[in-house]
Amino acid sequence: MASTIAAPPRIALPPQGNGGRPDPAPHSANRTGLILALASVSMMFIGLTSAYVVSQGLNPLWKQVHMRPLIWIDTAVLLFSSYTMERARRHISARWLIATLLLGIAFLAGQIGVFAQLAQEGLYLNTGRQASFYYLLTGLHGLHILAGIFALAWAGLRLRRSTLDLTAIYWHFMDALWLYLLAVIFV
Amino acid sequence: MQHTAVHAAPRSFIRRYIFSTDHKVIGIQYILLGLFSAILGTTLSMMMRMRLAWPNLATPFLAHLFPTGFPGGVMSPEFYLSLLTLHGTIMVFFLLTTVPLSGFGNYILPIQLGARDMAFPVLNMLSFWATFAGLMVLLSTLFIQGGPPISGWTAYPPLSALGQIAGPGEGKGQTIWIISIAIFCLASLLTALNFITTTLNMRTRGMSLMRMPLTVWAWFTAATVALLAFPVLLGGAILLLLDRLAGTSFFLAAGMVVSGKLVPNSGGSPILWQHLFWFFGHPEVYIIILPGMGITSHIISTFSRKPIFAYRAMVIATFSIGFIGFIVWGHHMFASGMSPLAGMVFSVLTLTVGVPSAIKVFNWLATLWGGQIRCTASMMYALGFVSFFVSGGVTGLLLAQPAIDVYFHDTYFVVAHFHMIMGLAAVFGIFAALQFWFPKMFGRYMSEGLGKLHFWITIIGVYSIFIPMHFLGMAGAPRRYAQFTEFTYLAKLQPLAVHISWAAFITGAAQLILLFNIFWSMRFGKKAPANPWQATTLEWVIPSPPPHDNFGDVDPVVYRGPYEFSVPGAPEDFTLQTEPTTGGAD
Repeated sequence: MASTIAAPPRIALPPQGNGGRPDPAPHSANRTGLILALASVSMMFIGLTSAYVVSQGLNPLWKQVHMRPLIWIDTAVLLFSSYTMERARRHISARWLIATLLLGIAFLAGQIGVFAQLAQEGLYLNTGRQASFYYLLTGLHGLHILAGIFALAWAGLRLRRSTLDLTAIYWHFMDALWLYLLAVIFV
Repeated sequence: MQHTAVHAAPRSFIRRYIFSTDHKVIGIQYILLGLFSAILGTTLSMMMRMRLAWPNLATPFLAHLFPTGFPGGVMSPEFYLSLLTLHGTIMVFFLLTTVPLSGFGNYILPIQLGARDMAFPVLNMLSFWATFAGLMVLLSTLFIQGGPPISGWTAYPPLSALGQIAGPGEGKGQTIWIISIAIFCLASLLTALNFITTTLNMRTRGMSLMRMPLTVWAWFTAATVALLAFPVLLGGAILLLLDRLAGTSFFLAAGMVVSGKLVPNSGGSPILWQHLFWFFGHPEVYIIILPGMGITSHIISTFSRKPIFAYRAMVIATFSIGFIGFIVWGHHMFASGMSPLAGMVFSVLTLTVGVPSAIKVFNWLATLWGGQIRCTASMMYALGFVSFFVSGGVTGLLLAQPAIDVYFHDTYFVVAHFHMIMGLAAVFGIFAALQFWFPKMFGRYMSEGLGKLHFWITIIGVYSIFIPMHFLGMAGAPRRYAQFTEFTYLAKLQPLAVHISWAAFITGAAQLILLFNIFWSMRFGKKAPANPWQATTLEWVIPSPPPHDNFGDVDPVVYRGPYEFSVPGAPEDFTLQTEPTTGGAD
């Protein structure tokens, strides 16, 4: 049976796959895996925001959560963190990476600040469905940002191009996801 | 060229058999988990059949095991409902999703692609143990106060969202059910991600997409569907959990009076859950059935000694079924009061699934036509798959029409339909795969004689169960009821229910033949060579059972398509994919 395996190719074959190389998974596999994971995250948010839109249509008195300065500031923080992330990626720079990480933490702190403001207005997770959805959607996004912060810390320890590339894809995606959520909730 | 293996097999028992990262060990772990689920799920269904045929039968033994479920020694209707819920959940998630995709897919897919392992072996291990944890969490509901949930595997609110006041098992039991499903979702997502990445990135030299076996196409498509469908269920599960634990009203409308009490929630819609659930739920049935289709194509081609008829059409049909599966979920909700226009759109789209399905059946028959058919047990199981796929699919065309569905909805007609097309067809796919790949997995054949005996009893038994069930449904017998003796219009059908129960007991008992065949053959079966079926794909190039790193040091090189049987001028009636082509052109 071995002879059937070992025969070298006699004709030029199209370069396919990566030669079945074993673990550790090759760079491109990590990238594919990340993109698939983000596709799956997208589907969850598409499902939940669809539920949001449908629920909005069912309720005449829907609007509870209003736009506030803190959300604008937070959005600016997150957008700026995408810029620092890109700097960190292009220059493989620990300093820019730490800046991104701090901005990420600042964003989360801002989110908790918004939650506190809402609670002061008497809007809790279980007081009306727009508030429920606001807490849920931004909370789930926050969890993903938290995971991203851990990824940033890990990328900072390794400080390699391939790791930074993947972390950057994730971080920019979460940034875009935030803008999408803002559009769904406030537009 | 000979040097030591790239990564040696782990030595310790725990790293080798328990927390293994070897896709082959993980595949077998999934199959054993599925076997356990199958035994459990079948036992539950036997208990349900017992209640349906003889509603007043006292069973002291079971009453001793579950004192609250059997007041006075007779099964309570609530306990029947909890059996129904567990049976559905265990079978759909932990057998039919787990074994054909995660089980056989894990074992065979990397080998058929010429890879040494999955793209992410550690993630693979985590997926398995998460699935295991999900099952254990689900089973824990049997042993908590109130017992397992009673709202079925679809867990429709408001029943599933209200908590304790909705009935026994709707308290902690339902919460634990949701947690179990959420764990299962995460595990399935990771598995799907691994399968897709492996298929895209880990193919060996020469293994172009159009040289992949149809099994790989089926697993790849099923994994893609799983990757996009499970997150939506996960989202829905989070909403349901919040409704139960945090007092939100995503699925609960205002003004509901339950058990004499006004529920404080307001503004939600129980229909919203149905949309989220079935957006996952319909693709889910294709996640279940697609691997069976791939396995059937693979086996029919092998044992007809002919290339699969219209390979390219098969690939396109596989993908079409996966795609259309995402836009037909509304056909589960015709009775929910949707607009006639939406009903018509969903109806037409659903009927469209018939086209790629019919293409597949036609191609299977055309492959058989004029072939030198070898009637092995796995071939018979594969033909059994085709049989159930057709007889279960035909009733699907009826149910796809809203006018008919409104009558049939929530009757035994639907139960019979989905058991045939999704349950038994997929189970026969599992049987076929087991009989076919068992020699590769364990180096020994399963007994052909026992396999054929098991095939005949099971296929006759299954038809004796489910064909009468269609009549029960046409007569208007509703699903999910613990007994029918209270309804005068159904009293005449009680003998039919008794017949179905006897057929179920005999079919259930026949599964012991299969169990015996599996465990006896593991130890005493006839020794199998590397390529016992004279098949063509890469798993037959390596020894049975395969070594830890599958292909050793040298990656295989693929020169041919997957089904080169009876090639004119070839020395044998099969040509391995690794056989170099002699001409200059490919």
